[in-house]
Amino acid sequence: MKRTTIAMMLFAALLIGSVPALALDLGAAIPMADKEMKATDGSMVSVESVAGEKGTLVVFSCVHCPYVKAWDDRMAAIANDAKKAGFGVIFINSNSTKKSPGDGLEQMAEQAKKQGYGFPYVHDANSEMAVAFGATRTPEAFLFDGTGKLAYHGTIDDNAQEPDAVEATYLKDAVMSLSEGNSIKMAETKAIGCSIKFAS
Amino acid sequence: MAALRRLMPILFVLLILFPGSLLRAEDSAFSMTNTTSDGVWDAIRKSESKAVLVNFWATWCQPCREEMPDLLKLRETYHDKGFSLLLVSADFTRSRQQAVDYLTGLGVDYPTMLKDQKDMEFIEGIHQDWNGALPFSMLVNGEGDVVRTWEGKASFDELEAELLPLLHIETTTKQKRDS
Repeated sequence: MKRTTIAMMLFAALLIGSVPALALDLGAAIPMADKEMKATDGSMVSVESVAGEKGTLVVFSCVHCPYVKAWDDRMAAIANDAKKAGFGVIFINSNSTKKSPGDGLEQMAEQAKKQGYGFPYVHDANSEMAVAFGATRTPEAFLFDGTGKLAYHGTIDDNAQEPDAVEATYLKDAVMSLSEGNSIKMAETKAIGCSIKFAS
Repeated sequence: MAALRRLMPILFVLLILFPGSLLRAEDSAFSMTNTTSDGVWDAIRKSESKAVLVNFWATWCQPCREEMPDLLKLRETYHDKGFSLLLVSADFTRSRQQAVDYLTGLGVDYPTMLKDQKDMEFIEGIHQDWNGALPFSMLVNGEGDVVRTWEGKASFDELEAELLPLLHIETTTKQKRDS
């Protein structure tokens, strides 16, 4: 039933050339968790296949967005730490290479190597995952708890531009809270980001 | 002083007949003012236009650059009918000069703004429909109500179709072309 709904949403989105505006609600399950996507190391990976005991961190990212570049080292550090703490981690690039030629697997592999990603970085070539999640920008993080329910959705911290001036470390705090079994204080946050270049 | 007194009735009549042109005479020079979300809303309220399209953009945002010519054309077509375009750059403040160069290079000769507030406060202060992706546009009527928002690129025809009822104009450019 859920797959039918998602397929209908995707079909409607393709017809009208845009995407559903609403992102997943807190408490929602991981959509299209079994969809396999090609990773920078050539393997096929699904969100389900990386899911961790403590939870799963899914980040929609890309190669060239200045906001991704500004946050990339911080995102990598949080994600690598989350993995060590028992979370599954996957970064997804849903940009169409037709619309954004610099977002291919080769460039993604360079980015992953440069930032020391210790987790899969996959290309969602037809943007299905972004549509299913209701993701619209990069970077945009979705953190699911150990039962697969969405516990945090939003941005990385409160200052992409100046790392030294960060006052609120939203994503890091959410991972830590979930890891320690505490409730997340700021479960939904927003930030400026690059729009996802949907394949449609 | 006496000359000014003599001119007052003429100015008064001009203000009654052409309110828009007199009000807009003051915004005929380019500027880029740092702003918060409150500053954006103040500028909307002070515009006294029948409709304001506020567009949030950045120099690094390709869809924003693709959309910009349509926005400028919309302003050029309808500014003298009571329409204002407010461009708000979301570039990092250190990239201010790039934003200035880009807009002046396109011939923008009216006031614009540069976001200077933390993202989340700024986004939430602008409109609930905005998730943070660029470009984002919102069309505000003369009463200060948001009539429509677009997260992502919008075309001239889409924007014009929403704008014309606010300006009390019935025929779109497309309809004129087709007839």
